[in-house]
Amino acid sequence: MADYKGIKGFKVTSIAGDPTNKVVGDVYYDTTANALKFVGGPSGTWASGGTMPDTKMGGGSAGTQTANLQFGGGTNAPLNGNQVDTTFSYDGTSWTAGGAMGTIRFAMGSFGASNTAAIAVAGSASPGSSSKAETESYNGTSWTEVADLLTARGEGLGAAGIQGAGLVFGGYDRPGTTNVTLTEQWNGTSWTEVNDLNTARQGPGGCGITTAALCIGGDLTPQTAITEQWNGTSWTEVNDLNKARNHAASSGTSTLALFFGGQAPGACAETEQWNGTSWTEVGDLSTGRYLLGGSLAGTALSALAAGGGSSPAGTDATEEWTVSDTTVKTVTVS
Amino acid sequence: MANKYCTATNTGKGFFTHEDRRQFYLSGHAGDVWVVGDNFFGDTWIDRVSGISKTRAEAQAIVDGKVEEAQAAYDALSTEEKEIGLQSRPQKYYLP
Repeated sequence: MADYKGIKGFKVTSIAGDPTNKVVGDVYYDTTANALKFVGGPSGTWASGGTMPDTKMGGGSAGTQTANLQFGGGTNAPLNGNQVDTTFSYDGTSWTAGGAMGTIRFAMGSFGASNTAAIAVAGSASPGSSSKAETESYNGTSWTEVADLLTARGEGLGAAGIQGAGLVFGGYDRPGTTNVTLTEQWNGTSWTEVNDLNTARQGPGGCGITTAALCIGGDLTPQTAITEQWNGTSWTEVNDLNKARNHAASSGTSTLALFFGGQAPGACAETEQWNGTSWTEVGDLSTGRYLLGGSLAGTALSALAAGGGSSPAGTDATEEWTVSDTTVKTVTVS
Repeated sequence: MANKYCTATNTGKGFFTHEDRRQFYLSGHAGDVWVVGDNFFGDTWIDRVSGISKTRAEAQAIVDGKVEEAQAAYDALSTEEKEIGLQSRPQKYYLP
């Protein structure tokens, strides 16, 4: 049988630990771990992030992995009995409390580029998960009510955009009893109804901007895998998720996005990446969770999962998704 | 793949790293239960986080207990509250 030296012309290098300069394809023996390793190509993983000041699920979120905002929602299920107005701001290392929301609510629509510029719109509130229409704007310190959505709705709206230009879609009309297809566009001052989704749903994910967005999954009872793409004018159905789910979180753009967590109906840990054409499963959260917060203005290479309902209670744990240029893998022989 | 089981409190940033996730299987469950890939790196992580080793049956019992607590809370809700609660009844599952 050919050995490594016979094939490559040199022996496998032995070093204590991992090399500083990693080159894809390198093979070496780690004498510290007593393991044969090789350097693979880019891949993403979730690592633990800072713990939030309190448990939070069903809140709104905005920003990136290192400048993130989580607000409203509840501390635990049921959300009607545990709703909160708290805001938590993340700097990539630790969380601090921000200004309280003016309208207490959960399962809202939300978007914004950072932890100092966010919009919260619509959502559900106790008693009875009644639908809200209020829109509030965050400046890094406090929330200010700015305008109402044209059609009140809750139980999870998809969203995309930044503080001055956003989009919300879907949701559930309560006290009515229907999922909605309605899409409304925010210009920084007021809402305008634009073209509907093709498939009504509550609790979809969303990402992108007002001219290029995604509506991902959601709940049609049962959960759906349907994905739609917005081109600034209308929605077109594109390829489905691999795993149907609702109340998940997302990060990225309409051509390169990450979708993670959710409910199917149990808490999901799966992470899928969208490349503009199709979804591929790329890795799992350490802990499955639904009604979690994301990083709408993040990327598919750098994302944040915050809080959520975690098999089964609300959690204060966060996880950070990062894609590295190279990946050290251990060779196992069985 | 064999796994080990422990309880450990998630202390936040650095509790598990990207390197950890590449080197061994790790999943977190109710009751601070962690399922850890059975290799050198997994063992090292359990030591690092002061994990308390459990048998699979012990770990499963902790998770089951937490799910049963949540099921009881869910069952105590009114029919209307269940319909509008945005969550389904928690279900027991087997640890990997």
